[in-house]
Amino acid sequence: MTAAITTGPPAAGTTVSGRRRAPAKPLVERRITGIVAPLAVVAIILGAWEITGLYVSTVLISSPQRVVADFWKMLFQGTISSALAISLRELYIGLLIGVAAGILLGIVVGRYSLLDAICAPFINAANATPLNVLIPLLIVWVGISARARILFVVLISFFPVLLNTAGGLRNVSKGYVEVGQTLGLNERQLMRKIVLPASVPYIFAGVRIGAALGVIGMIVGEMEVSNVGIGYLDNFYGEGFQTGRLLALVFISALIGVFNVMIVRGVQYRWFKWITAAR
Amino acid sequence: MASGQPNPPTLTEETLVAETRMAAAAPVPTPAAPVVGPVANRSVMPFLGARRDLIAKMVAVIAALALWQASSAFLKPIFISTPSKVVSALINLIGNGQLPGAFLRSLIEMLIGMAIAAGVGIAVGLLMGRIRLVERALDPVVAFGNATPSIALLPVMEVWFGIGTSARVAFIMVICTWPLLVNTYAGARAVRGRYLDVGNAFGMSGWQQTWKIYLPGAMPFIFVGLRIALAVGAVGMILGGQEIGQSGLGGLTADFGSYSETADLVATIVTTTALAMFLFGAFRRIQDWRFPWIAATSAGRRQAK
Amino acid sequence: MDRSNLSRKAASQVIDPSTTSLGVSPSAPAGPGTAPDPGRQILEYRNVSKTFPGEARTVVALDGVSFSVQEGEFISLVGPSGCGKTTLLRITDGLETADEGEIRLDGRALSGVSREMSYVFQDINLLPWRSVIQNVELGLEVRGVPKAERRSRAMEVLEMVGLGAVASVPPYTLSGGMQQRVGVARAVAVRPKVLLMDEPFGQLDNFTRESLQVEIAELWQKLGTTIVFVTHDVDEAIFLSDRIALFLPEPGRLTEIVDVDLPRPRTDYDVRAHPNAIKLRSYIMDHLRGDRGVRP
Repeated sequence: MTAAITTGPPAAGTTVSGRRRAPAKPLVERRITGIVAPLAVVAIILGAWEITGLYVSTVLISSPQRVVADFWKMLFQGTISSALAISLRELYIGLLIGVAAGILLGIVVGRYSLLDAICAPFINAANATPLNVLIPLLIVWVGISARARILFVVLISFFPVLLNTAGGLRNVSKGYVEVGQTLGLNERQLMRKIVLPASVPYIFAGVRIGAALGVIGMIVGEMEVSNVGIGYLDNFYGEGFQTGRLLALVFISALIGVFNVMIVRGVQYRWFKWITAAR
Repeated sequence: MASGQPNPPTLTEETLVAETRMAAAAPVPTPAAPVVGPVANRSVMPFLGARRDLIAKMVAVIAALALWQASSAFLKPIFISTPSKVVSALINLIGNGQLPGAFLRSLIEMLIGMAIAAGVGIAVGLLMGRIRLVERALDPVVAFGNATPSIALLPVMEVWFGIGTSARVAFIMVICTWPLLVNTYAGARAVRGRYLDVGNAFGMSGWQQTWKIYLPGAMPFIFVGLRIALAVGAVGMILGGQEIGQSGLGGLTADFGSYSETADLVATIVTTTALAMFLFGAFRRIQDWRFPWIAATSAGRRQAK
Repeated sequence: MDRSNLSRKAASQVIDPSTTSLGVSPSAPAGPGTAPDPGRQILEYRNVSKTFPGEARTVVALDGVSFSVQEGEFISLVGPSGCGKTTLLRITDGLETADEGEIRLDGRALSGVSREMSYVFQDINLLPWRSVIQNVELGLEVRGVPKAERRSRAMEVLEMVGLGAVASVPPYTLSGGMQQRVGVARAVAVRPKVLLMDEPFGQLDNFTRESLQVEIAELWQKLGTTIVFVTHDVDEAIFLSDRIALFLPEPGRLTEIVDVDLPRPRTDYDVRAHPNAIKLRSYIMDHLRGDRGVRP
């Protein structure tokens, strides 16, 4: 996350006037409160948690110390790494398919308004539906298998990518399109040189959401369709009242989510700098 | 999608949140022109328009249903059943009270969970937007909490609240709080950047500014947050029903799924879609009724661009 | 110079602020492209009409506009907002279609987007994913100009607008004035027969606007291109134009075309203080105001 924040738009010559707040306090003081305050809050939360852990059963809330210890233990035991390997494989296969399909279909649907009209009822319904309601059906189709879980990751990441891509294509600034028209671009050239590049910010937004939802899909899929992976372990430790390990798993899944979003951001900053800079 | 559709819960609106999520600690929040509000159905090459689209839609739905019905010729009914069987299952399940009961239970759990989440999320979000110290203190915690897939906390809810209604409601609430909080916070920051001078110029007190400028100013963001909360919360609602005891629509799907009662299963799925669309529609209604300016100004902003 | 080609309506209303000279004097063209033949009619509007049907009321944007533009001339369309001047320019380049009437370029009726004209937008719209020079090259790309030639031609026009040094930077790092120079370069690079400019300096501050006006005047003299220029700034129109077409709203219509009798080249902004300029200015202002006063 820090990477995403520090890689700001280039300082040189950004004409877009960022409204900067007038500093209310001297810089040094702000730095201090900016570091001290959050640290204090984190310390208070952890301290309170640790102290409660002394009085309340550790089954209920564990304690920071235990979570860290469990995290460490699991990191070096086979359990976590093998579960992680399975989960990540399914997650990224699913994401790859879901995102690619979402972009492709999004382009087609965004491009042809008739197709858009045809697909709209289905896409709207599917997009509104909490997709995990389909999991029992997926199991009926492909059994309790990795395929079912991958399929679910595909489903859950597909729709935001599709909708954002299609929406991006439809919402390309009229000004950009007119520039192309007045310079004599034909329909194909408009698509390739104006509409598609102009939709890239929306596509990225969709992929970011898809990548984050994919992690949820992975966990939900494994909770419901398996005896493997992070989601399953999550359930397993929950049923075994091993709250420390469970929270360590939650932490790991959070890291996966952050990592995903960082990758998407990284690609955007590396190859599509204009998206953030041109604003 | 097309403008004719009643209330498309366009996840595109998350553009806004996706921006704020990662930029949580960035000093100057600039909510990029987000796709808020119904997406204008303007293609590069517009031809006939609304009437054609409506016909196309109807034809597509009818064709899909026909295809589905015909699929029984080469697919075993266990895979996707048929529309006729699903309809009779629907009638049957509504008649014996199973579906309405599950529908209501899920709806109520969802609404309670979301209401609490809205209270907490909006309050904390506003506080963070208003009080610098709270903002600095909570910012990293919120960023972390928002990044955590709260769905993984399901077993924790079971440990804490057992396997009853309270666990499911708590689960929904935990999931829904983050998008609401983060969006309210982003909204308050946007207000701070944009309208603050208005309040200062009229000599409003801090409290008045919070109520008369910050809260309404953050409303577009709050509604985006509500819609995202609804989307992820519904996943939690179903998951909770499937995993925490077996209750509501989620419980029914797990039940029917394990006995391979595909027609009943699909009937439940359809009901779930109806529930979700009802909620999305209701929120949109409320927004248009109480805050008509949100749609108007966001559309205006886009046109001005 | 033969003025009989002008539409009757306009010709009958041409006023002559003080002299008999018509003021159309594009100096010797030195730019690329075919040498313009001053006085030859290049663009002809015949009874162009356009209405925008609305829910509340139907707006008549253009009501039977007829006039013609001479090759190599700088003509401005001036009027208050809602008078249809921008709509007319958009119709000219095929961004909108007229309900009635036609526009002829070199005697041929136009339909759709014309590749022989190019357009400078008020909101510039440089493509942020392309560098400055790539923006300028866009029109050449689709005309099948080979890469090396594309580059050199784009560079040539960029240098003409004084931006050779920033060819490879992203456009959003430039100031508004520089961005609009790129916008002009992009339009000029395809060597259009007619350059259409839609309030190109409307978004710029006064100082930038004035210096860009001088630059455009110079560029026009150098290239000899015909320019149709939309603005609501009367001073800008007087400074730049050979002729000024006055438009009034509700319904949007052309009411008169006036000649600008000022010496060229007008690189010095002092021409504003020229007696003819002052007379012309007050005439135009009266015209645009007076008509409004009469209407309910």
